[in-house]
Amino acid sequence: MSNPDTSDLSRRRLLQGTALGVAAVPAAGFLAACATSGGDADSEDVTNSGDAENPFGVDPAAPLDVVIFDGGFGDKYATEGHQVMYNEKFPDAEIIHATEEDIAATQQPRFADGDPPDVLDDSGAGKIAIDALVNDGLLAELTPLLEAPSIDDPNLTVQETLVDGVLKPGIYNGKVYALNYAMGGWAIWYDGKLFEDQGWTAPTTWDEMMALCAEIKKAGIAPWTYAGQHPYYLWDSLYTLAARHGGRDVSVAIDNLEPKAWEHESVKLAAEALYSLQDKGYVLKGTPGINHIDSQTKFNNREAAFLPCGSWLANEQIDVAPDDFVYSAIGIPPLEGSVQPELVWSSGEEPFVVPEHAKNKPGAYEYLRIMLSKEGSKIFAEKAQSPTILKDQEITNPPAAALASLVTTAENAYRPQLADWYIDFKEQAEPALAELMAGKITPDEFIGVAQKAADSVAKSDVEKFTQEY
Amino acid sequence: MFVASFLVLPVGLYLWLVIMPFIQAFQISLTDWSGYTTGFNYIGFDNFINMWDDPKQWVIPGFTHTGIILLVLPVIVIAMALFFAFMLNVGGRSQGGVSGVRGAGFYKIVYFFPQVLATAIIAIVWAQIYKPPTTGGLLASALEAVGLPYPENGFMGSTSLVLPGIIAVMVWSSVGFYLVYFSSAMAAIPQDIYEAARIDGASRTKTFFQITLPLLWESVQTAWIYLGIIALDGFVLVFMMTPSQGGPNHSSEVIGGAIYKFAFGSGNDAGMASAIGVVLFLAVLILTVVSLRVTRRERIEF
Amino acid sequence: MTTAQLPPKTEKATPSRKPADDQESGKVLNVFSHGFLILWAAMVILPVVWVMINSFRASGDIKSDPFGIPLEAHWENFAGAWVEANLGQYFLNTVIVLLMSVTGTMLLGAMAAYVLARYDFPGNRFFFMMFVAGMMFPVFLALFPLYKTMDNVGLKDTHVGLAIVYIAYSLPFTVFFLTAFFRSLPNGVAEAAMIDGAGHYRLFWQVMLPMAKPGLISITIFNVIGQWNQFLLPLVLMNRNKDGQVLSVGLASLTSEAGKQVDTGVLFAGMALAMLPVLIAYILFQRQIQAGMTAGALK
Repeated sequence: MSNPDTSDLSRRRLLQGTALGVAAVPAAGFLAACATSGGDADSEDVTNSGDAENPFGVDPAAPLDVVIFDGGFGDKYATEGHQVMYNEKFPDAEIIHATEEDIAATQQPRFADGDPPDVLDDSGAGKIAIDALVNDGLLAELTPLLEAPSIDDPNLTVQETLVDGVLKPGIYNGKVYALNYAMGGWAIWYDGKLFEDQGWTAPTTWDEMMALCAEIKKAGIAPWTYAGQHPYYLWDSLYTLAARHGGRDVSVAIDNLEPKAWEHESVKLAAEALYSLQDKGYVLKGTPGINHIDSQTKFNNREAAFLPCGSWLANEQIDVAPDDFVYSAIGIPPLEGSVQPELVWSSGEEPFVVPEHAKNKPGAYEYLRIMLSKEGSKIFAEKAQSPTILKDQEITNPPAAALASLVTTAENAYRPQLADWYIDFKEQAEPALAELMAGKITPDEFIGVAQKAADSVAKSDVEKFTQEY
Repeated sequence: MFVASFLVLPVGLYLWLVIMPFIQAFQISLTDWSGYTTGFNYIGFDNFINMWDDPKQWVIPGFTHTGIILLVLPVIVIAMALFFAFMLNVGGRSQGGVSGVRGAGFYKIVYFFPQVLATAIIAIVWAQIYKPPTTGGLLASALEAVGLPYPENGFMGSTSLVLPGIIAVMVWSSVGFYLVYFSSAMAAIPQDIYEAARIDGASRTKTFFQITLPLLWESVQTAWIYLGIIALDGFVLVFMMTPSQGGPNHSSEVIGGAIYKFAFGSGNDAGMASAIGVVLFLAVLILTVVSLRVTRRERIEF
Repeated sequence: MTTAQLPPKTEKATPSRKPADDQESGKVLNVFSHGFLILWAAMVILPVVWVMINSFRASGDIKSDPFGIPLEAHWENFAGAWVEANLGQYFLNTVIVLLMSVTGTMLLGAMAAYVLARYDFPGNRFFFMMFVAGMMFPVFLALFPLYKTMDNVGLKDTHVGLAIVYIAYSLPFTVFFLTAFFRSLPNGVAEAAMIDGAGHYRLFWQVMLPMAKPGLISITIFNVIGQWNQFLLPLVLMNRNKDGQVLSVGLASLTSEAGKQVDTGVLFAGMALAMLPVLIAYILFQRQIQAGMTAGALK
């Protein structure tokens, strides 16, 4: 089982590093652009009629063009699941299926030609930045889908069957443009077996974490490691420490680019806490210079006790980790005085979008509606070994269950967005986050860089997005 | 008729696949095209102005580092190649006569070898060599083993060592080429000039600076331009070896990388990518003209 | 243009007495110089040897001790690289593309260079300058439109398409180099052939090409190595044809971090496999290769 390269939170950008073979190489439709420029008129609006059988008025004979990202989830869930279900309903519809490793490289010319697919799973190292597509008016809103009756219970809308708040990462300015289908999140991982053998218990507060780190170090093991070359992996630790301490609003203020949002006391404490790990010598030597694979290898070899990583980790490591390794997850232990100590970075991942100029938009909406049925969700869980954003699912996969158990209530799930929304911010602040963790700059310096980066985005003419409180 | 029949294919192919794309790139540089839309607007020279205020820190560091490589690489490579070439062709005077040091043939074969390796392979090999000692990096582990200071996070994980590290690989792979190149040029220098110098009792250093170097000046000039072009193009190594393709903290961004990121990476700005490309093209042009001017000397006939 | 050859070996001159002061300073210089020569040789050889050794070791061993020697030969590394990592296929692809592209480059390049060098016609200078200008274009700039051009004619992701692009981008230097070479050929033979009634075509194929052989060999070697080295063009122009990819890009995908585990042993075996044929070819033909590659620069 290789990696569920779960999308938005994930690795795509941070992995561009040396991901050459699959590197993003979109290239352009210049000639076509000349030929077809100005052709952005013809898109029809799809409405939801409320009819439980065919709410979008799908033409049963119209072909449906589906592009699935070839990542850790594979494409069996689509070809052997959702597409079969679609054909059962519309036997005359031909399904044009493609599995792509590099979405941007393969789909960019199609967008530029005005000939995008109907359903696009926009994930992977070469995913197309969704905000860019939204800005260019190239994506269709998913409102008709969300308001349509659910397949399982026509009395409920599709939206009502989803876990509360999971649509957030797909919302741009109040409108849903991407359906993040798989349920995922971030955590601090540890090996239950190692902890049991050593008589350690997972810390529940930051003070306990620091005390345990001292003990782990004495046992000759490095307390922490992380993917130093990909500082993206560290956002969760920072955000969640801060938001647990000061409440989710701290994170929302940051995302909304409010003045002095980074200078909030809780952010300072969080930065200081992370800085102290390196300062006290609790980080595996060389960690700032290693990539995620090396950090995971060190973790699997029990050379390091804690590893911050996304929910895909356990599944990804099944074949690689020692047989007796017990993948266990905690949220980052809260600082003293935390007001929302159970907050967890968790939401839908693996964004599915419907291009504005798709030829079969009704079919695309119907396909997504099928994916969001109980049957569709079950197939995904079986073939891709991941829960979906559908409510009340049975989770059979133990690590996924471990992670799901971290989120106790909907209010405790949150999803920071800043680095995803603004590439300008990311390029300035992420290196600073890496230097903070490496002990190269102080917490104050880090906050200074982040605040300055956020301010410069706020001042620029880049299109802004907002989170709701 | 005969001329046309011989020219039509090469010229046609060249116009179609080289000239046309370049003209189109110039055109794109004047638009706001993201690369995804079916249409775009002409925005004049906005891209050429905005690129100097790039919050992503790709462009300015890119030009800076490319400039550094441009200054440093030719100097180091030419100095080393000249030294080696001299040693291997003229340096072995202890035996009497004008010849290379012992083992000159062997050195030439060895030094040239990196030149035939694909850059992609060189990048992968050196990325392994540069890793932190914790993950088996050869160089840092070796330094650690003999008790010398070494970068704990590896060479590519250090903001101060990453660029020198990349330049070192460029030097490593090209010295041999210029060594052989200068050797050929030295071989064209008549023996009796050296003989005369030797009889006059000139030291090796003196011989080098007063005879060899002036006579090689034209070759040095050519090498300079070639190395300049290599320096401007030094993207594959950065792309394959450094974290975030130009990191850590933008300390190895190069101009080719900035183009790549805007065109094919997370920049989503085909217009900007093309504009930077145009600036790069102009830079190459100016570089070539200027270095031809600056290095122009009287040609020494012999 | 007679520089397309390695330097003639420097002859030993008659030994003669050396001035004493030179001997003193010479000694210090000697030690330093020789030390440096040896050091640099080691710096070139060691990484290559290191790759060869590690290609036989288990991944875990490499990471824990970079200096170790193989405890047992892990031949499966090579099998993994050649079959599973598809290097065998990539190797074949590269050979196919190069067969087409180098042949095409030489043919078209020689044709264009020949008429530009030896025939006077309106526009001669213009065409020559046009080709020469191409040497200064950064390939980056053209990637974007080039991609679309190839896509439009259905040649993207094909070996033929890649070969055609290689040819187009190799023409500037090839034409530049061969033009100088054809110019340097003596006129007498050509005139004699014309008097004998040879047409322009026969003159080219049967007289001029054979005469230009040294130059053709040099530039062929130059192009083989240059095109074998290509990275950016295949990365972009073959991006939807993973199985058809060439070796340089295929090898790079071995280090791909897109979540898949990188097997260090396999990676080293892949590097060794990619180096070995080049190393062998180089040792066998090093004279010709060095000459071919530096010949162009010596113009």
